[in-house]
Amino acid sequence: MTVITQSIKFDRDVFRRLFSALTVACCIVPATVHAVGTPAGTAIENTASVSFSISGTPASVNSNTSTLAVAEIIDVSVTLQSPTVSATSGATGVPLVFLLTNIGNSSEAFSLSGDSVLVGDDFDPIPSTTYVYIDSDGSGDLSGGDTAYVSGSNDPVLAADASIGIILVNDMPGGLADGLAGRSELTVAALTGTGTPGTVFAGLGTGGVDAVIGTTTAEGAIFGQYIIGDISVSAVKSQSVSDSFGGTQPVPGAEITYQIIVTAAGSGTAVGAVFADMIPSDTTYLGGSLSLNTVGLSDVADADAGSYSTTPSAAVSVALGDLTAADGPQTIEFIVTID
Amino acid sequence: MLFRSVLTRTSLAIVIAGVSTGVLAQESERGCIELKTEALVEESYLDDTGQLATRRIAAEKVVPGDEVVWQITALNVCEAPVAEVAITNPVPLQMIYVGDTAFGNRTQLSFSLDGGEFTTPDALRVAEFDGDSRLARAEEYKHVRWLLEGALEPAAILVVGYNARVL
Repeated sequence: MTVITQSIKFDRDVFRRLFSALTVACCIVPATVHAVGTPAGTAIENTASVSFSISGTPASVNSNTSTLAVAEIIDVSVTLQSPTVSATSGATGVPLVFLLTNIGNSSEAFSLSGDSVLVGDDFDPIPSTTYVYIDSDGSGDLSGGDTAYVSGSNDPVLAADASIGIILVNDMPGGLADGLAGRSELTVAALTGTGTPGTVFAGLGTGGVDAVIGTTTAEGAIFGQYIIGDISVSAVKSQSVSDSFGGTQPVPGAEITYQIIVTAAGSGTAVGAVFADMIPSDTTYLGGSLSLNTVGLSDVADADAGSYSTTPSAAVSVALGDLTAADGPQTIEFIVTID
Repeated sequence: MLFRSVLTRTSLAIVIAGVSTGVLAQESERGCIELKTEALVEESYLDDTGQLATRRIAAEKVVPGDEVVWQITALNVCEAPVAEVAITNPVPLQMIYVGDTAFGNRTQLSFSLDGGEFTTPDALRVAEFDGDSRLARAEEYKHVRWLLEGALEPAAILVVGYNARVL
């Protein structure tokens, strides 16, 4: 089965900031926008006031100023950028592209590791001599400007909300039949520490504030998949905003229409292709808005190709079946409302 | 502890009042209410009977997404009642108000989007570009106000507050 996943997360301010850029770069690459919180070390101040009268004479006073220190929260997101990579048996240096994003609220360094011996696939890809690359030139693929990763030497340091591409490179064993699948997994971990959400690393945050592990446990892992054959499946995602004022501002209540075009290229068949996409945080899926090639799909998991589920997290899914190049582009659309 | 110190100062002022009544009357008018703002968080604990309970403790550190209780305490430190007591608190810029969390006994609650006009949630509206308007959402409230019904008697305490979430 070919699983195509996309992930877009954002907060309203970040989305607003990035929206114009996204529209210019429309549809070239799947956009990934993440929420960033109040920066670590920020002092949140609050002063109340009271007005009153005594014997008919008005007066007012202020309270003390109460100050809250914002600690560092360590969270990370790692997503797969290469939906499924088609490779011929015996091919060497085949990249899988991931995107590592610091979704905490301060700068953080991350360690990287790969694993190509996984259960659930048909064969084990063979790690290339240089297994992990950092997409230093931001090309979105393995290229001459990329840097070989050396643990403890050039661990990527990302500012809050910053992302960087990470590439795992594998060789394909010889003698494999078309259609067989092999997986390779990237694991990332914050160097300050990992653990259950809420774990505190006293004084280890930026500027000496406490660092707290967020909901992601400060580590993440995701695998990509090679399919033996000469077919590749790509997905291009774009979005448009429609607010209730007739404009395109991403304000609460505005609707975002996502369009994803999935295309198979090359020879062979992408078996059991499934498109899955998480509903971005701070948005709500608009029931009944899912469609495939302009044909509406029901939200429940039933005979048609589409479904919407809320567990483990809100997501839409479209079963595209066995895709070949002859099927042409498959256009998926759905709508979310900004909370 | 803070209030005890205030009461001590007030008592001293009363003693001296015989010397300079007019000046101290003005002082009294300005400072008849002592106002304190605190940031609290709720924590679970086992009480004396072994039952799980919650209590509010001082917030030591927060991270984005945390919910904080802003508690404001007003104490009348004068010997006369004060009237028209209205406590106002702007929601900190780095936080959003959490809907339906404002509290305060014997108070009329109102909100504002700009610190100018205060009104009840069912009348707080946001203008839209097409000339229409809609009810403001709780997270859009920028100021909270509590108007005490009746007077705040000497030594009486008024406690109000609300929850806000760190952005």
